Amino acid sequence: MTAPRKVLVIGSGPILIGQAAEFDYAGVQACLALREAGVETILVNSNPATVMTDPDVGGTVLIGPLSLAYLTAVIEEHRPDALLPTLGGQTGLNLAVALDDAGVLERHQVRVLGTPLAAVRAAEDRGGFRDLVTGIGEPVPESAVVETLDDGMRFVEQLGAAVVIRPAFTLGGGGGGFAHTPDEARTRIAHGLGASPIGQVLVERSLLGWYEIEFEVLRDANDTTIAICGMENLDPMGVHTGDSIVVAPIQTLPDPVVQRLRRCALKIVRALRLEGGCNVQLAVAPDGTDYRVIEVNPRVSRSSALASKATGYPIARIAAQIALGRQLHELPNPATGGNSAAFEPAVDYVVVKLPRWPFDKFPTADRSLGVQMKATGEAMAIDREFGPALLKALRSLEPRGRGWLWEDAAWGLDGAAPDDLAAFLAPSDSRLWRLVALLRHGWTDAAGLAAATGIAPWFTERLAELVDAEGRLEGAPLREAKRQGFGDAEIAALTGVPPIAVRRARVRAGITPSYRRVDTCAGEFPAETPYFYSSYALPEVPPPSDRRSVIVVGSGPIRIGQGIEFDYCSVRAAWAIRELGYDAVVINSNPETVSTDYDACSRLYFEPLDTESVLDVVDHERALTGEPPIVLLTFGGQTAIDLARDLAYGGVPVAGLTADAIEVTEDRERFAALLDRIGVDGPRGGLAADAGELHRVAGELGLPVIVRPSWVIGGRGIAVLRSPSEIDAYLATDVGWPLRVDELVAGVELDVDVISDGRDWSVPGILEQLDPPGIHSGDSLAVLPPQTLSRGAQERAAAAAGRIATALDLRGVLNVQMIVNGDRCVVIEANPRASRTIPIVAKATGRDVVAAAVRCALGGTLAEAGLQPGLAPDGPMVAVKAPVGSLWRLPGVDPTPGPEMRSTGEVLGLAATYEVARREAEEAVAVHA
Amino acid sequence: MHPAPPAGGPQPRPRITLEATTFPDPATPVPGILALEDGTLHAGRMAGALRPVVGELVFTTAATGWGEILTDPSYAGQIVVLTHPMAGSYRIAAAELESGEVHARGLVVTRLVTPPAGPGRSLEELAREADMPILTGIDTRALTLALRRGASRRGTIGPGLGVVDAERAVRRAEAAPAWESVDYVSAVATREPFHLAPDGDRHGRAVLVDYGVKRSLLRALTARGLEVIGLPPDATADAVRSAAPDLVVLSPGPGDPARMGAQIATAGQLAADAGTGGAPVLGICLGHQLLALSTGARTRRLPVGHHGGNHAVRELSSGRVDIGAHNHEIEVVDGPALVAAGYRVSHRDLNDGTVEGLVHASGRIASVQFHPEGAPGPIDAARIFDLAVTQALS
Repeated sequence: MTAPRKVLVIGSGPILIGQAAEFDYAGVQACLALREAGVETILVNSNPATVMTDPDVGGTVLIGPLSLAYLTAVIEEHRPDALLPTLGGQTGLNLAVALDDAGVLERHQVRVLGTPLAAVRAAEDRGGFRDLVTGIGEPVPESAVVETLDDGMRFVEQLGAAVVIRPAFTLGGGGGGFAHTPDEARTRIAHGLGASPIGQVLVERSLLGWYEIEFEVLRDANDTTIAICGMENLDPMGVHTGDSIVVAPIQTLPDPVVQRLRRCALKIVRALRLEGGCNVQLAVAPDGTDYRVIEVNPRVSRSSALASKATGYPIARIAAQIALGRQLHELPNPATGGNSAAFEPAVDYVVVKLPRWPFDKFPTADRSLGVQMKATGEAMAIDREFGPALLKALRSLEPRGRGWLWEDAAWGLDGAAPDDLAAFLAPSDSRLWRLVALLRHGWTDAAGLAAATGIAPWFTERLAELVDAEGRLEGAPLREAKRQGFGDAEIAALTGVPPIAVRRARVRAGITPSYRRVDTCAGEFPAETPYFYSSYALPEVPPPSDRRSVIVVGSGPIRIGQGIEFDYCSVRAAWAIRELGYDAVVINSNPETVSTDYDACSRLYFEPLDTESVLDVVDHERALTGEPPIVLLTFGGQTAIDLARDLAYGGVPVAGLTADAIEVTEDRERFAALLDRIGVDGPRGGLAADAGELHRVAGELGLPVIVRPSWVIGGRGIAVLRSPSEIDAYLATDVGWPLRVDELVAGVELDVDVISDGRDWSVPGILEQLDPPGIHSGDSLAVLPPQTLSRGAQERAAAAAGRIATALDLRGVLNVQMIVNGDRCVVIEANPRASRTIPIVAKATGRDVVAAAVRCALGGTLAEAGLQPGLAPDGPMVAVKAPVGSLWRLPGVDPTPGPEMRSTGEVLGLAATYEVARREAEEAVAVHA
Repeated sequence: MHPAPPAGGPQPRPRITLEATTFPDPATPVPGILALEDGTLHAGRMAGALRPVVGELVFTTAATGWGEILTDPSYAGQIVVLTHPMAGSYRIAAAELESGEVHARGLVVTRLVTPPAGPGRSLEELAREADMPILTGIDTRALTLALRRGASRRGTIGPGLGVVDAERAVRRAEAAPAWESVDYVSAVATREPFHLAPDGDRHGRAVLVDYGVKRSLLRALTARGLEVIGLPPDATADAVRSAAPDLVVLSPGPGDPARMGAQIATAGQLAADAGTGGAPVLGICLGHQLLALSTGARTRRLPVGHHGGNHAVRELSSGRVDIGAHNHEIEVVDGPALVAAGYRVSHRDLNDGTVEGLVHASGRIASVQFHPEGAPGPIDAARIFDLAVTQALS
């Protein structure tokens, strides 16, 4: 095969539930691999909050709608000779198929790299998939399409197992259900035949309660086929794998079963003649005697990102090289630098992934879990054993009170066991805590939990061990509690001392974690992978570094209001730090991301983003480099900012930012005082400690008012109250007193990102919100540069933001939200950190604003950062940002936008004129509707 | 967090880690010690047999297959270290055992898990029945890194606590016989000829010289329609010939092949037969090494033995790459003697270039260093059996 000259790479578009940062990770790896190989890349993506859409990564980057029309135009204009479709998730694959169907690929002689589209079609089409899998002698769930009760019952009797009945053409599968006995089946089939408008039902073997196993497989043109990682879902079949707790490597199955499943996965990938990465999902009977192939995804995926992070084997990078015709045996081992990429990683630790759901923001949503994925993100943790890995993963969810020890009083477990254990433990976002609580209260044991849920007893026994250990914690040596995996905060809660006292005692006694290398080979070969996890085990110190380190604290699992944009910032920050001659150290817990690619930094610590873990890494880095590391909190969203106080208390140097400055911006009274002092207008408002005060303050200000609890993220608990009856309705909810009550200023809302070196400030670009104030800025259409404001008004707004940055004595980046109404410019809030808008400003202006902010935070000047003081002149491009989301599709979530942010992602239209940019943004949104 | 090595000049031993590195487990209350000949010490807790053993430490990266590993005769004389941290998570079925007894001397693990109730034996039950000790609570990654970096492999595990026991343990490790010097084969291989019927129709007969064969290898032959005559390791070439083989199989087995003069000679005679139209020969692992030695080629101990199921092996003629099960401390050294005898290297390990297979110019002698029968591990290269059987029956 001749190497391609110019490859078109399709991104995955905005973050949606089920399609998150993993595709930025895959795209970045692939683009870098292609460009390393001397191949030109053209990258198309509508999502600006991605590392891949920076020209130094993506090559020729086109930010535009992922539509057939746009892609066709791109191909006509840029004339790529090849297309790599497997990196952009389902969106990318579907587009590639559409381009093929429309004859565009053939017309312009664009060949498809990696996975043949025939394989894609075979894997995607239900019938084709069945034929393919059964054709190579592998089992799929048995099924029959029947139109009479007799036919249905003949199948059921022949099968002799539980079945699921799905009537044809009913909305949402109505009229179907599971049947465990022939009698139940008779009733269900009869009912289903009646419910189906065409009198037809699908009767299929039920795999409810079977264990779910996934393999990530790579294959090259030489037919070398390897399984990178086998993963096991703690939640049995019935819960979407994206909503499941996933463990790697496979823990509970004996070798012959693991080998049989692995062989099956390899056989399927070979049969598809796929060249690249593939995910194979299998169900295995709890006794291990039987299995079925459930699903095949012929592309990189969330699971392949997880497998890459779990093993240290960069699947997407290798898949891209394979797509160029390289073969596994001739590629070097990507982790050890050894002879060959053809090997299967061996791991000597346990990896646990926990999903992160958006229900904290949407209390009315249906929290049950099933075949529809509901998680927006995930956290992963690594430790030597399952228990400590699970506890660390829980800390990585940044639970805000929902740690290992959390129980809901509404469960009523103090008095009695639940009446119906199975119903109490039905899959939901709180199932893990329910399992633990039942054990803690002694209402059942590990076997009881396994029987009620179908979860493998191995897992429930590990939970029981942890609960036992928890009970024995008080009075036990601290070192043992740490080896069990309990966090300082949990030890503090269980022993009744403050967490800081636990830490102090621990550090004084020398009880600190050691950092282990993720090396893909369980120590068998020398490896220099700069990828570490903590464990209370024997030390394994990497060679000391002679450069001072700067730590970028990442942003953890993706959630509403804290998305991939902070990963973009973290990655660009790490790159900028390296450029400046420091060691760039990243701490993060999100396996989907570019920032947790060990290639993106000097040292990666896969750790929870809490005080304990960040301070431990700081101590370790200090020991390693002989100098206290500098910590950058400004690029990890609110997660990182929340650590400021504890880090300051621990004497850790935080770059460009004081804990006090953060508090000033978060304490609305102090912030109002600061605005007063520097002569900047703030909204009129007051504090309300109870219902009476809320009525009084609202009366003084006049409706509408906006109310918000202090310390908020993504607008949680924020509401706009427009009438007395709305006030009453709000009071009926669970109000977080005290509330800040502000007038709702009418006008044009602006997002101003200002970069300051402590003396001068610079505003590279301003975003104007096109929706009225009151809509969360994350949910609003916005444009850069502003279209309705005079240059003078913009300069006044920039100056207000600049004055705030100076008054806060900030070095780095500050985001200010303000409303301009005529001559009045009212500052609503300021966040002393990079915000959601930073990637948009970067893409629209073509400036590496993160690098500039890093330079200033580390003591450089604006001039050194390449910025002119003041508001930058408008560039040639207009950028229109539009929100995209899938949240409102979740049952029970109110679809009307308001001050609570609801979108999961965003798209950008980037063009020379506002009209074209807006049209492109709208087209980009329409693709994902 | 652990006692630092004493300061003030070189003090070669003991490097004491007299504290278990996992949390206490009520199921294993008896303290234990691992000692290496060079004075390295690790403290843990005993399970299985509460007695000391000496042996050569080898680590395996296999994450499953404890039953297969412990009962594999090739592990005779060795104390197996598991890099996978959670050992014994499932119950071991009788079908997973590779021979009638446990051959490994001992087992060193990070954490011994009590598996859920059910049919089959727990790892600890298997060890206790076989009177084999397990040392748990050991930081097996730290130990593995030390072994890979060249720590001495001669060691001991056993009950003990404190410095006196530790000194005694180091003494025990020092006194252990060198692995290369022991005849493990005659201890593990069959003493009497045996016969296995083929599965289904009989297509031919394999005569297997048993140096310590695994059941899964025998099953790989019978599943392909061969009846198997097994002969003891001291079987002469005449004894093999008189069993009228369609295929001669030289089996895997434990220990250093260089000390097996008689077997090397036999392998040479059988190879000479095959090269001149006699029954084709398939050598696996130790059998492969014996074939190589019979040409006058050398074998040597690997700096780090291959034990696991994740190495890739490349067949040089076709370019085909397979992940395979590896279990060898010894490698064949490629050299002129092999070439002179008509052999060429057919397979190499992609990680370290180790010779993983030989083929003879006649096409009638093939041998592999790895284990195409898996158990534990992949059987991606099982076609090696298909090829041998096809050749034997053509």
